[in-house]
Amino acid sequence: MIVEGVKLFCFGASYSVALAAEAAAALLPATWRRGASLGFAAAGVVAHTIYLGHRALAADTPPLATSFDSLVVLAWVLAVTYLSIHWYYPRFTVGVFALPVIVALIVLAGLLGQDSQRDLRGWARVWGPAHGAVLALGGVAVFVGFVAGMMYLVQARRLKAKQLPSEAFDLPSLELLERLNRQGITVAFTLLTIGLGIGLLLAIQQGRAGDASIRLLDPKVICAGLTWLAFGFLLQMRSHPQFRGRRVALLTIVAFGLMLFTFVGVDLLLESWHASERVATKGLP
Amino acid sequence: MRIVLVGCNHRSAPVAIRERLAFDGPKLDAALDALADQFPQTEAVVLSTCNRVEIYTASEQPVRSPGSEQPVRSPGSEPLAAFLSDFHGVAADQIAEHLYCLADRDAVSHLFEVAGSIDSLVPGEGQILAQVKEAYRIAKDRGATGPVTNALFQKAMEVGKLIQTSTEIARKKVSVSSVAVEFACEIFEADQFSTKTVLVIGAGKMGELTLEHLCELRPGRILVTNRSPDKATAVAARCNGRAVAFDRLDDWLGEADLVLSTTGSPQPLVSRDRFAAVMRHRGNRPVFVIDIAVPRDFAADVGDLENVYLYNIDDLERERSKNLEARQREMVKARAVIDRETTSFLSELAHQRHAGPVITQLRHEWNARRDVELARLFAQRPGLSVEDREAIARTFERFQNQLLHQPLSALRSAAANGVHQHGLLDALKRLFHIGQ
Repeated sequence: MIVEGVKLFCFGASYSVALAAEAAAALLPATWRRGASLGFAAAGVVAHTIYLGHRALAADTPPLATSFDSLVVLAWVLAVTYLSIHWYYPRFTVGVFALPVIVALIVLAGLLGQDSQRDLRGWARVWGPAHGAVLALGGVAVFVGFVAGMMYLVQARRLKAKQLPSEAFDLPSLELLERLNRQGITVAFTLLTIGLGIGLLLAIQQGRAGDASIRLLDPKVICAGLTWLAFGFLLQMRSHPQFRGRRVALLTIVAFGLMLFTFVGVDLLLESWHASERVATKGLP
Repeated sequence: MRIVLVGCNHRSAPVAIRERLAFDGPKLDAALDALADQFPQTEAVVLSTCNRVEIYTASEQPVRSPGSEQPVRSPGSEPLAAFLSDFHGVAADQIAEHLYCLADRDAVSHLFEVAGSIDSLVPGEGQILAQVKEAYRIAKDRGATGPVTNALFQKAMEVGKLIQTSTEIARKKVSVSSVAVEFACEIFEADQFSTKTVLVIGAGKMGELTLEHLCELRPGRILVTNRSPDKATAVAARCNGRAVAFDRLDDWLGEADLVLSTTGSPQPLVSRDRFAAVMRHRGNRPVFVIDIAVPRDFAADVGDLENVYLYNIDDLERERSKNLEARQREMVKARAVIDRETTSFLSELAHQRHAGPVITQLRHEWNARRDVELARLFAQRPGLSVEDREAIARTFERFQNQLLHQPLSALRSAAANGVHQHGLLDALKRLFHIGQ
């Protein structure tokens, strides 16, 4: 069946071609580049959606209970967000900032391999996916802040070099990018707070029910707490005059790195309960 | 049918000549009336702007010199040149060397270049298209145009718009002031300028020009300061701004989002340390400083401060030159569009001129025969209802259109592809006994 034939590789490759089209801005006419990147990104989102739908039907729960699924879902939400931005603001070069993150998430999911689906019961059956979903949405807000921050740095550098944008590489105004960056940080902090709160309540409830497998000193929980603190710091600092513009943009990029490490790095490098037992399917399934 | 153009522009004639040949205000109406008197059966449009004066004519017969019985052998340029000379009372030999005379394809192509702003002093400027449109409107209202000039000028406006949309020629700003505005839009959101404050320091001419462009962004507040309060008040009155005291410059710098500095000060007004203090005071908000004063009003290292975007006249000039080069590259694309559209227009015109009467006659004869046959049928069948008669008449008409569709399409296609259509026309005439 075609649906079953859709693999991680299919949409990963589509997004990569879209990225290549964006990166070849200097070589391709603008209309071709936009058409190619939009077309391949859209094809990637369609394949991605089919893949996730198939996985959700097979598991009978939303595909959010494992690190692998969380990464693939996060990549999907980011891809849809990117596609919407690209559709409404075709003039701006967003792909070279957004698509590498999406491709990297898919590659990391492939490296991580599929976890065995956890058997979620009771509270965890509802609140487990809710915890994952809210954190994934928080990830989108972080992503928006990160992309806006990256674009801010490039735009500020270009303006300091006193150069106007070319048609091949056009960015929004500094003021808009700073606003998007700030809004990303605010929403990210709110959603991370809610997501981590749900996770905390879930751990307490599971502990009361006699399940000691969820530990608050788990490396993933600690890193998530640090990420939350980093965004709290950013939220506090954004109103400080010394932390306007470039510095906030730089800190957002660092915070995004921390979040990425929490999502993936912990599972790859440290022993974590969240990593669960892996099925031997590493590579791009 | 000949299309003839006689005129001069900023390249062929100095302003002293152009201003003597200009048709401004009531002169334009008088010129159109005079052209109609002197060259009857000739369509005419006069385009007169500060950079060009051009007379476009179209006539079935070659244009004759006034009072002469002999048609002029040249494309008709001499009588029009003589008209220019007589109308303005300028000796013919004074203007002869400054005039260009173009006919048919060259004249059409030239008008398309003018409408597409390829022939402008500043290529890509959008004003010329409106001027072409206005020149055509005035000529049309005066009854000076006809089928050829109507088609020609409508096509010219279409080509002008096509060049604006299909090439980048109009997008690249080529004045220092408009480049400054472009930079402002890279720093601030275009729809947020109503919340921004512009501070003008000094009262230089160049500064006022740049301020005019900045005002197009509709800033929320304009403050003007100058060592001479009277000058500040005068500039503020012209730009709907507010004159403010020069000795409180640091306060105004703290409030401004865009600073336009254009004083005649021999020393920099603002040092790095002074502006660093201002930035602390303003909470490090981004500021765009356009320093077009020579010598500069802001020390060069002010631009090293974070969130300060300082541009001097050379920075703006450099981007302006790049834009000019980019426009030149776009001209190649625009010329290709003009070439294609000129061919298409002339083919269509030729088709209408040659095939039009034949097609009209063919349709007329077929309609007449159809009406005769219908009348005969209805006479034989008096019992037919009105609805039945109308249905039969519609069927006959449809059938006739279907029969004519193929030959007429072949004629149009031949004209569009530039194929000489006389062979087809002759065949059509012989096959359907037209004009025999």
